[in-house]
Amino acid sequence: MKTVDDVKDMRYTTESGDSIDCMVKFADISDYVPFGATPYDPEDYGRQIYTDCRNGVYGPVAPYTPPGIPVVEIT
Amino acid sequence: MAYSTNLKIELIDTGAQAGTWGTTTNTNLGTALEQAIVGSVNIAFSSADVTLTLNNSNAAQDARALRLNLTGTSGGARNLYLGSGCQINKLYIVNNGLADAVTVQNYITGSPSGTSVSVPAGKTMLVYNTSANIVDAVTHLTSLTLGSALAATSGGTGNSSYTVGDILYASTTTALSTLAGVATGNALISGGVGAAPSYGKIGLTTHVNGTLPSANGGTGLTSFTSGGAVYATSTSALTTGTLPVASGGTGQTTLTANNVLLGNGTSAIQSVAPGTSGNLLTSNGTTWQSTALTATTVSNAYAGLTAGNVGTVMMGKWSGTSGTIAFGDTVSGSALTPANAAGDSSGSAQSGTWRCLGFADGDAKSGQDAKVTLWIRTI
Repeated sequence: MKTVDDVKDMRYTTESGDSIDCMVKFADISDYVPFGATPYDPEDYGRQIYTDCRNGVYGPVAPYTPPGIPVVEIT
Repeated sequence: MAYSTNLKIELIDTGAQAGTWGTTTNTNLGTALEQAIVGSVNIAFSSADVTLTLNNSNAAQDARALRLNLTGTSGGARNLYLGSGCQINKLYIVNNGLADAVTVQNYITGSPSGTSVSVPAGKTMLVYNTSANIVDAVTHLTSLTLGSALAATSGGTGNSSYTVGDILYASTTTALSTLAGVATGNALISGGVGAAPSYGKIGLTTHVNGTLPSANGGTGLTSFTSGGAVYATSTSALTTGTLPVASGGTGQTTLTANNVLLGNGTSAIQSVAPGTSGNLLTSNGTTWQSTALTATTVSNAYAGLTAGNVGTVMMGKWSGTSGTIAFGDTVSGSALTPANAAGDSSGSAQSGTWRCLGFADGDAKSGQDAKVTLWIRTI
């Protein structure tokens, strides 16, 4: 089980709320790393991070923002 | 004529000694009684015992005197015998001026009789003749004050005053001296046989015998294992040596460099050597061992993986809409979904942290397939 020191920059990436994009500081890694937290992560610590984020352990999670319509250059 | 039983005073019969009883009476009073009450006679010794006798006569007689002053030469311990006629009730003051002790004793029909009293040389004693035994005339005093301190040689101390805390010790074979008290915490220490004691601190290396047991705050040990530990083997005993596992140690005195330690219950820990370079630490189901990496090892590892576990390799589509992800870059799993080479994605966003094993282009004009590449979950 990996030890989590901190989680920041949390935001939902799905409208259903089952995926949270965040930056996680693990005890055995010097820097924050990008991390996708989901309730269906096969890794225990991943599910725990998701639960903690949902419970506000690390502060509020930014709401989901729908992706904009990509602008395609017409040639 | 009749005489008194003890002092041999002439007793005049009624009507007797007409015209001369005055002379007899004067001799009785002025000679016999005065001698018995205050008289002192010299008893001369010439390196031999002396025997006194007392006859029926009111004439002066040595054995009637109150004080017997022993003079002359003793030539060794002597006897002053109270012989014929002396077995009476009478007090004597015996002043032994001889160089040796003199024993005062009754002497009856050629032999010493009854108890005796020995008067030391140079001493004066009060003795009493009970007619059968010679005894000390005084055996108890209600109180006694001496002009000088009673010497140790007479059973005293030779001291007339003390300081509180003083203790007495024999400073010679015939004298006692005082040892003054010192600061609190010092102990009385022997100065050795024939030497004066003194106060001082107890020398732990010289004055203490035995080993302080653990029950008294010691270790109960007199030696230790060099480099070893001292640890409790029970609630009341310590020992020294290599700290066993049960006491939080390893049970080992050396650990081979770079070996991996393995638990062994309460027995000494075991270790696994690195073995050949490239080996892995693997389990055989019972313990760990250093084994070479084999295809079986790898396949077993992959077989145990669930899709999405750390180590999963996935063809994934990056959700970015601009920029690129280069080989070795990491992204959040929430930005990846399983995909095919045509750019179609299916399934949910991924969990964890993923490293790019190819290249992903987020530019819209590059097409959806440009966002698909190979990824591996690293965290």
